[in-house]
Amino acid sequence: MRNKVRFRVGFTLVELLVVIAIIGILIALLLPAVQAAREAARRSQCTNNLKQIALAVHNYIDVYKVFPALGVRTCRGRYYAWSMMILPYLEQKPLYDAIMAQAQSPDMLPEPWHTTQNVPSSPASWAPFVRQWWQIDIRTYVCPSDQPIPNRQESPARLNYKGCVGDDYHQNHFRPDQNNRQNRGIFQCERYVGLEMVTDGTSNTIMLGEMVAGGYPDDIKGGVALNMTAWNPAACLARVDPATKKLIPPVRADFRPVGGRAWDGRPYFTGFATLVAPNGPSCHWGDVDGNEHMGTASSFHPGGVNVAMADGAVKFISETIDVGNQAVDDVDTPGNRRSPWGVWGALGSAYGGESVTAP
Amino acid sequence: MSWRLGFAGLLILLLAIAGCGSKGPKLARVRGKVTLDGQALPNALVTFMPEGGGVASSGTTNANGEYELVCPQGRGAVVGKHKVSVRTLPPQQSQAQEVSSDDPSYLAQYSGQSSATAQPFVEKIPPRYNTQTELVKEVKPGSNEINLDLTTSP
Repeated sequence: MRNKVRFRVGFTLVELLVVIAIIGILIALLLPAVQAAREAARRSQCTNNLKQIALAVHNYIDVYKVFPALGVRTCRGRYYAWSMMILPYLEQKPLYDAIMAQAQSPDMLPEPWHTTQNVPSSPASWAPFVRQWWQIDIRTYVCPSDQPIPNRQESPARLNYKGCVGDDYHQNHFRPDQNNRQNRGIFQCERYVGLEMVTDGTSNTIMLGEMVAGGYPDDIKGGVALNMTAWNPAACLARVDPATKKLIPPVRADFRPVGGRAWDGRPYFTGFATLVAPNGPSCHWGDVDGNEHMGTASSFHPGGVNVAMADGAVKFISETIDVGNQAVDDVDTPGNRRSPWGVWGALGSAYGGESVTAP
Repeated sequence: MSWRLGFAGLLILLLAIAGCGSKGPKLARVRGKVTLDGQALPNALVTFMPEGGGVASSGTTNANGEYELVCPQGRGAVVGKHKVSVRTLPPQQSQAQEVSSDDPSYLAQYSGQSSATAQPFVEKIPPRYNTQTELVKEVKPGSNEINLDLTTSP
């Protein structure tokens, strides 16, 4: 009896070792989870930004009864982006007014994204107006998971959220009435899409998506391969070097990141297309940013990207989403042909005749 | 004694949980050679698309007709059966000297430059290898060498 009582006092070496082992395993399990929790927090902030922007677009719709155009031409001839037009609905009315005042003043900068470096021949009269206070990042437009832009020489305002131009590539920088081009996305050049035009259903059509703004010119995310010669997404995919997993040159200029000009309403800066799978490479026809752009959604969140549907719902799209037959060419007049690029392409088109629900 | 058994049980449970975790698609290296009527086919775009949908892989052939596949997730293609498409990449267009879109003279040129002005281009690979492809290949785990021998006559 006494022996038993003495035996129960204290722990044996084996029991202590077991306890230590369990604590060790718990720490080993928890430490990566802490890091993942940080990314989860950034991701939820990023999701919230996207939701705010989607709500701002819907406030714009309440006022004007249409979605904003991807870009509208100013009297000086370049495009002002949708992201500028919704500023009053993001509680950035003073910023909007300042840009508009600048735009209407005859002796100021031609465009709000100009710096002296943009145009080497810039007249001396521009000098006082470069780097205005409104050439700044808006926090709602910046995803905290993204990396900084390495070279900001020509990138005054950052934009991580892009308007969906649909499953369109080589006509997406044209006005739809030019050269008989047809676009099928929510955001089109100089064309206002009404809610009634979204016949695929507003909950089945992507309105906004996130895109890596910075990165280096030859990165898959954030980089752009130039001088495309084919009109299909497979050709863009083939611009990735298998050995290095970097884009094969020629690639975009170091000082011209895709997310560097929040107010420039061309597909290169403020739009994305649903041809190449999310987190895939982006490609460009020719060597100047004003041309056709096959930029896809991308992010540093593990496994996929956030998108906002036209009804305002924010969804997470896996990077392994069905992208259909990537070898099919884009055409000038797709009409109501089903998107050849699978669920991803069908979600991008607003009136392609596919009521495909986001997975 | 039973609390010791409880400890042991907890330990086993933790070890079991540690084994879980999500991973991306399983990729396998794919390389090979493309020939058209016995001749090596340079500048061809080879695309592997999984039959059930999913991550597509793509590659271009070099002067010897050799290609290697790549997808955004890495080197290679998803393991399983794929529809295969082979097309010719259009040659590089001789593009007019393009002006930076920031330059004031850009607008004067605006209407002229686009892919609409691209030269027409004739595909010499039959449609049964690309737009209406019947070609199915299987990618196995490990390293694959998949040679594609195409013929113009059916």
